[in-house]
Amino acid sequence: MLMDRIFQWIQMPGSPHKPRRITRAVQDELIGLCLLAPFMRTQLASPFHDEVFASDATLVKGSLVKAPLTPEEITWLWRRAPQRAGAVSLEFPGRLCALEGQRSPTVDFALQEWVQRRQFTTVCNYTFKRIRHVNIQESLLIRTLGKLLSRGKQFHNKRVFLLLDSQVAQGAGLRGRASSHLLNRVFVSLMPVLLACNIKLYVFWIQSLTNPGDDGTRDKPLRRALPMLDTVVKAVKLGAESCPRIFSIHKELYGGREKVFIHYFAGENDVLGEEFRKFGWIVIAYDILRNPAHDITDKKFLNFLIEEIRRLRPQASFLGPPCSSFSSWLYMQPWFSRTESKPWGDNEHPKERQGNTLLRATLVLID
Amino acid sequence: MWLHGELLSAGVFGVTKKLTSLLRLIVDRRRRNACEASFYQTLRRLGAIWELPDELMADIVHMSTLPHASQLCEFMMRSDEHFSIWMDDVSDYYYRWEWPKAMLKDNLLGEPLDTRRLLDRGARDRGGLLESLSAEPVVAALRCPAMGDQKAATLSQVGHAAIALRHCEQRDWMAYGFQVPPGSIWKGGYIDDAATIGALGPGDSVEPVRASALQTRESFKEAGFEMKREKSLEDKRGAVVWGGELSTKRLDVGAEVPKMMALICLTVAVLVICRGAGCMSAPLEGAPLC
Repeated sequence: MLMDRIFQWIQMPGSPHKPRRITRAVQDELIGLCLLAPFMRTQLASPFHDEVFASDATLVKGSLVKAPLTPEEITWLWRRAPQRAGAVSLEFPGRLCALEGQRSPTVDFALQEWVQRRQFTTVCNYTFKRIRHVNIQESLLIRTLGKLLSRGKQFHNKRVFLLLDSQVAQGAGLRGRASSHLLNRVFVSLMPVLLACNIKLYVFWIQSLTNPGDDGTRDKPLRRALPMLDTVVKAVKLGAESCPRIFSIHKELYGGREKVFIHYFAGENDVLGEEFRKFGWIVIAYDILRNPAHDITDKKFLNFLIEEIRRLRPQASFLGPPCSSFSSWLYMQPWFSRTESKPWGDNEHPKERQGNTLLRATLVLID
Repeated sequence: MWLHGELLSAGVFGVTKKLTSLLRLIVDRRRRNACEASFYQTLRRLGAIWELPDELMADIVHMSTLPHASQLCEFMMRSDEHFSIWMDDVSDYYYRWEWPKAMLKDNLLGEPLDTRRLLDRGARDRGGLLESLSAEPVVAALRCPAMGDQKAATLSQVGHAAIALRHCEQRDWMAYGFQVPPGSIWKGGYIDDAATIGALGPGDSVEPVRASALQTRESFKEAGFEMKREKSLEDKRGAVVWGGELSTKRLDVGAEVPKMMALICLTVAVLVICRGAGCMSAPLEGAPLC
């Protein structure tokens, strides 16, 4: 990614034996290479993250979606993932088709079948500020994903699967550089983020029609997963069995994890939590009514809750902050100051102030 | 083979070998290489003619493909595990192979020579062959593969794989472009460099990795090859494997650190000179900077 101008400089016409001036841009790239070279090492003790992401871009919109992964699925995906520097290997096209589980130069139909039968959820949908070539927009989405991953500690020192439908962006992501200067510029700004957080992307190509990220870019509701087929489950299981080492590493990490449900503002009785307990979930309930120390407006307690989320990584949470001060029926009260254009009100009345503080804390927890 | 009335024979030259005073033979066979089909082109053609099954074709390609250090990045370790690296280097690997007699004419060296002059200069005449051909010029030919021959690396890699795979499963064999081995033991050969890499936990025995490495060594010995003792590594926690440095201490893989540092120093020195002088000479070989 860093060697963009350098290659342009090398390819300039002229005798290779004649002295030539090195441009400032080439000098900068060489300095950048020297500075980053010590970081360009692969940490081998970094496992895969237990979620797969999918991205899609049009000229104006971008969408990122994700789905959870089991240890079997992680192993199965690793087995068929295009490997480092894979896209460079174009010398003997078709040589890998024959062996089962090798990456295919055509379409990986098994992967597509699996993707269609997995329920994805939206991470973000957004409109690009500028209209550019679709391959650049696809690469920008990879950069967006990189930035999002860098913000969460749980993604650091991890390998992450990404599905997309642009072979250009996939090739650039795998090779580490593209022949296009514009694409290289996008990846250059992504590289320090990935290097600093030690995140490695494994980029798959899937057809547009099976890409779940496609819906967000076309203002459609996210598609529902098709019913899972026995053949797909069997294929995933066989794939996991054929790579016992990778499977055991990820089973130790994610396989034995208990289902955790955190109930904030649970009240004294925690009715919802009781129902979850009946299904074998571990339920953690917080409410100031149960324990005066559970004051979510206290910064220390809020930080403790954030740490708990990072540590426990709950599969489900329920947050129902007191909403009485937001009721539209309160317009009859003289102190009520909330309007549609000013939903936070003037923050003067204690009830409104408390409602705002609790809502802000809730939003922090959701974020 | 003749091209534009000229015999397409190769030239030879030598370069010094690392750690020894011996010369490495290099054949300048560029013109002849350009006229020949590559191993893979021939394989594809024969595969189509003989309708070879895809699995067999894939196996042959898997065995003939060299591994690459970038594949080591796919190794996945637990934080408490360590490497056990075993490496062997086969001595004079190319020169232990021999082309079939029918291929001798493809490996001609130098210009045609006068037989009488050769005999006068003390050439060994096995079975009086040169004596019988005294009226005709002769051309020297290599009976073994040599560096510079485009098919030598591929075919000798097949030979290495055939010997090593007697005692290991094909799925554990590393080849660039193919899936990396799924287990704890990775094996591979780079023409004459054989490597066995194992990932071991705190209480794990080194025996399976050791057995695998020694079996490969024995297979080579059975086939009549000798190993270079000075280059062999046994149960090392870190080593440079085909250019990639594996380290148990850091649990990572990357470029060889001293070489990388030397390259950084060279680049910085060039840039400092460049900033001062505003230009540089394109060929860097022999520059007194490193």
